[in-house]
Order: sequence, then structure tokens, then C-alpha cells
Amino acid sequence: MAKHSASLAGTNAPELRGLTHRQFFAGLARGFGGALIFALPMLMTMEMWWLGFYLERFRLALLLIVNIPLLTLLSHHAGFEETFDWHEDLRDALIACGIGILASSAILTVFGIITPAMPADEIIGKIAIQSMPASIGALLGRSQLGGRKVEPEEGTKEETYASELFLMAIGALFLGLNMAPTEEMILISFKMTAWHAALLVLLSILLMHGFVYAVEFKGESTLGPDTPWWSAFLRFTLAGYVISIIVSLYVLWTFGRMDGQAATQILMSAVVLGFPASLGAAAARLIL
Amino acid sequence: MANVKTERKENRSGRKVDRREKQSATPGAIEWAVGAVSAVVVLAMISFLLYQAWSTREGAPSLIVNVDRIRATDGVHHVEFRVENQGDATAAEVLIQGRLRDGDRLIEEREVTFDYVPGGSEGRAALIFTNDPAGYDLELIPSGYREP
Repeated sequence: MAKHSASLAGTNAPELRGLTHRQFFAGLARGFGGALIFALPMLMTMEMWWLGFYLERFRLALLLIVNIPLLTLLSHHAGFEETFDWHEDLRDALIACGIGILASSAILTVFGIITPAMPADEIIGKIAIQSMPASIGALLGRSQLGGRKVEPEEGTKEETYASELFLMAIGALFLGLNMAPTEEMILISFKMTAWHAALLVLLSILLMHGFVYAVEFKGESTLGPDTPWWSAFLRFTLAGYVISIIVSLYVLWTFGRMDGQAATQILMSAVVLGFPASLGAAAARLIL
Repeated sequence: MANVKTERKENRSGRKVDRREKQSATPGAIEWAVGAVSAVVVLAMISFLLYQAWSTREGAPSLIVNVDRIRATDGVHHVEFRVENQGDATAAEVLIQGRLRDGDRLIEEREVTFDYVPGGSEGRAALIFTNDPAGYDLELIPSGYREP
């Protein structure tokens, strides 16, 4: 790569175009790789296929609409340009959507989950619900497999904090989406009593705090060495846990797991899904 | 290209050190506000769960079936109903049986199973009869369940 850039200054336009084309296709390939790594657990979950045809269409559409600004923001964090050029980020987000749709369609076709004999509504539903996690994977794959890292934004204090929380939300989605469609999520909540659930809340928060500190020790956090534990606990652990619960609630609602349920049941399912989601949020800086 | 990248990375970490020093001194007001709101939400969650843990007894499911409406489509009759679990415990594999009777004579029998009806929640379903329920006595009863 360095050799190319060294000769770049003296070259003419066609060679430059060739280089960017190659980079572009390498980026696409990385995107497909990321989409598969991220979405395969969901592509191979039967509840996700069923959700594709019975999920309420409004919720499915909302999921896809929410996906666009989410990917745009994520692209902003994953790119290494310092300036916020939302045109480029939006373009990358749309490319990620395209990769997500293509990868999901291809895999579902190979598995025989979608066949030409099915009605369009069913095929589109099955692809659409898979394309959301796949597109997040595509976007992360383009940067991660390319050796870049997702980092919080460099800006004012408030911007950096907001951006840390955003990355936590992505981490929560990362693990939460993998678990949410399975029936085990609600089954576990049925097996637990409210005592168990309260205990699980405490356990989630404790483990999260461990991760928050682990990140701090890695020297990647905005926390200084002289930050008292309760300060990090309040600003990152608890805030991150609430974000995980909100993400869990949204995912459960989208997948129709809350319909007709009592408030206690909804909260307990959210706590169960919040367990993997909160670990994802806390480890976001490590795993993203 | 590679040079540019490392330079930027250095630039980033360099700035990060500055920022860290500044930040550890005074976390912003927004950070405290978010932290405080989060603490309140988490405390509310735990209190709600503990309240539920105290107040709910080791109960059994209590299943009640209500017919919403009867719809005739394509020569068959859909009896749409909802089963409500007014107990605290979750019932799994709830079997609902529907019968049409003419006096003592059984005209038609249908059944449907709910995977789960959690405590305090409801589920909806329909039974399909070929005879018009309007002409007979319609009976919908929960036949059984198992613990999840």
C-alpha cells in the first residue's frame, strides 16, 4: 500500500482509478465477510425465518428505517477521516445495506429457506429482517478487516461521551440481536422468579463494571487513572446498563415478544436479554 | 497511505491524552445527569422486581377463556377468542378445547394449543368449526397446561 501511495503523486489518472477501484472491491469483500460473521448465527436460526413472515410489517419497516441513521453514525466512527462528511458516511451506510441484503439473500437461497415458489411478501420479509444485522456486520467488517478500529469521536466532552454511549448501544445490539429471536429468551424469563431477575440485574451490572475497568486498564477509555470508581460506575456502567435495557426492549418489541404480556413479564424478558446485551455494551470497545 | 494512517493514529492518541487529563478533572454536567437518570431507572427496576418477588405467592395459573367474535369465512366459522392467565405462574402448552353441543349430543370438537400463556398475560387464537356455532351451544374450556 505504501509503495502505491509513493508512486501515486507522479502517476496519471487511469492508474489512480485502478487503485481506488481495487480498494473499493477489497472493501466490498471485507463487507461481505463482516456481514457473514455477524449475521450467520441469525441466518441459521429458525425463529428468524418465521419472524420474516409473521412480524408486523410496520415494525419491520421501522427497523430498516432506524438502521440507516444507525449505520451512518457507525460509519462515522469506523472511518478514519477526522471530519464529519455525512455524505460519505451515508453512502457507506447505503452500501452496507446493499451488502447486507445481498449476503442475506444469497445465504437464505443456498439454505433453501427462500424459494421462487414463495410469495414475494414472505421472501422480502425474510431477507429484510436478516439484512439489518448483516448490514451492521458489513459496515464493521469493512473497517475491522481493513485494520481500522471503531473509536469514539474526538470532539467536545459532550460529543465524546455521547459517542461512547452510542458505541455501547451498538455493542448491546451486537449480542442482543443474536439472542433475541430465540424462544429461550422468553422461556428463561418464565422459569425465573422475580428474585432471580433482581439478582440477574445486579450480576449484569457487576460484570459490566468489570469490563468498564478492563477497558480503562487497556488505556483506551476516557477515564483517567484518578477517576473514583463510583464516577465511572455512574457515568458508564449504569448508563450503559440502561442503554442495554432500552435496546433489549426495542428488539423484543420489534420481534413481537412483548405482545399481550404483563408488565412484569416484559421487564423480566428485558432483564434476561439485557444480560448478553449489557456485556456486549460494556465490551463494545474491546469487541468492535 | 500507510504513513498518513499512522500519523493520524498518533495524532489521535496524542489528543486523547490531553482530553483524558481535562476530563478526569471535571466530568461534564450531561454525564452526571445521564448517570443520575440511569441510577434512578436501575433502582426503579430492582425495586419493582423485588416488590413483585415479595407480593407474588407461589401461585398456579388461572386460565379464563373469552370469545371475542365469530366470523364466517369460506364456509367455515372462526371462533376468535383470547385466553387470559389471571394467575401469577406461567402456563406452557395450554390446550384449549371447543365443543359444539346440541343438548347432550356432541356435534363437533376442535382444539388448539398455546405454547405459553405467562402470568397476567393473554394470548389470542381461533378455533375453526364447520357447523355454525350460532345454532348450537358453544363451549370453550382450558383442558390442561404444564409448567414451563
